[in-house]
Amino acid sequence: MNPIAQELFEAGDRYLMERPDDIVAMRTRMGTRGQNMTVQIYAFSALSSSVDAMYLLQEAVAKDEYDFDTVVKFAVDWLSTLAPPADDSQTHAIIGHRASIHYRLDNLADLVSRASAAIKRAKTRDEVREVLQALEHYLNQVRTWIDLEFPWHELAVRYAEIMGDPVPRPAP
Amino acid sequence: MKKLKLTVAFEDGDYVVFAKLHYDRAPNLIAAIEKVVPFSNPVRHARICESEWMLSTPYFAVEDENFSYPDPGDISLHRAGPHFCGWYERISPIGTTDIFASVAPEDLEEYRKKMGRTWEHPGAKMTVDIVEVEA
Repeated sequence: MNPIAQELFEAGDRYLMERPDDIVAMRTRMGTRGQNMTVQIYAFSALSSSVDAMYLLQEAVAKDEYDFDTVVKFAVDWLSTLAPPADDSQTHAIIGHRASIHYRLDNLADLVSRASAAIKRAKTRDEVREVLQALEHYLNQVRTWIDLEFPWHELAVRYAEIMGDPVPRPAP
Repeated sequence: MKKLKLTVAFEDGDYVVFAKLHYDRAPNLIAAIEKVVPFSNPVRHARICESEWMLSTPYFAVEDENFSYPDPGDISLHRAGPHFCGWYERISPIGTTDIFASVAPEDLEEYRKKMGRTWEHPGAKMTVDIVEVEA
């Protein structure tokens, strides 16, 4: 197995029950006017979209309907929204460093960078698929812990008050 | 007979529920799940669908099976991620999903009350296993 895929699968398995250190760091990243809520919402949304993207791409790379270079290019470009490939660290566009600069998910940024470079180097569909599946698993687990961190219920109640919406229904 | 066993470690004690496995409709999916159980993950609630809990799983890639609209009690695999989804009350399904197990109708009342807690109090440890039980 590709070493970065192995590392991603192992981290994903560990995070099934272990809260990633990145989550603690993310909670210290303050956004506009010194609040953390928007950081969490943006990180959760970015990782949720990325899980779906990795899932769709690992399905796509196994099929002949998309040519190999296109799948690789799209995968690397998508991952660049979280972190640039490790062999292209000169990219300083805002879009290319969201994981570390926007969300302070530094371990995630490092793993995504190295995984992205591995995808660029891969020669076969199976090699690419393995890394994409490992990314899907890893990003899903980190996403889960952001989800658990966010006070959905409490904020939904407050949101309804602010917006003049009906009070959310109580638990059954 | 083998059944899916869910154990949720709520603060006031463990809640255990068994679900019938649909070997007739999702045999390959259940075979894949049998390879990754037991596992645990903090259970959480969906945010768009009305009455649905969610649980991230170890990684496994499978094809769609029994891809259909869920009813209360149904448990499915959402392949992206992947994660398990369980519907515990009235629902307006937002799509089809790979249903592989169902909680029995006689257990739904307690299941509804227990799993409904996961919106207000997410994060309880849920352990998933497939075990032999008397028919």
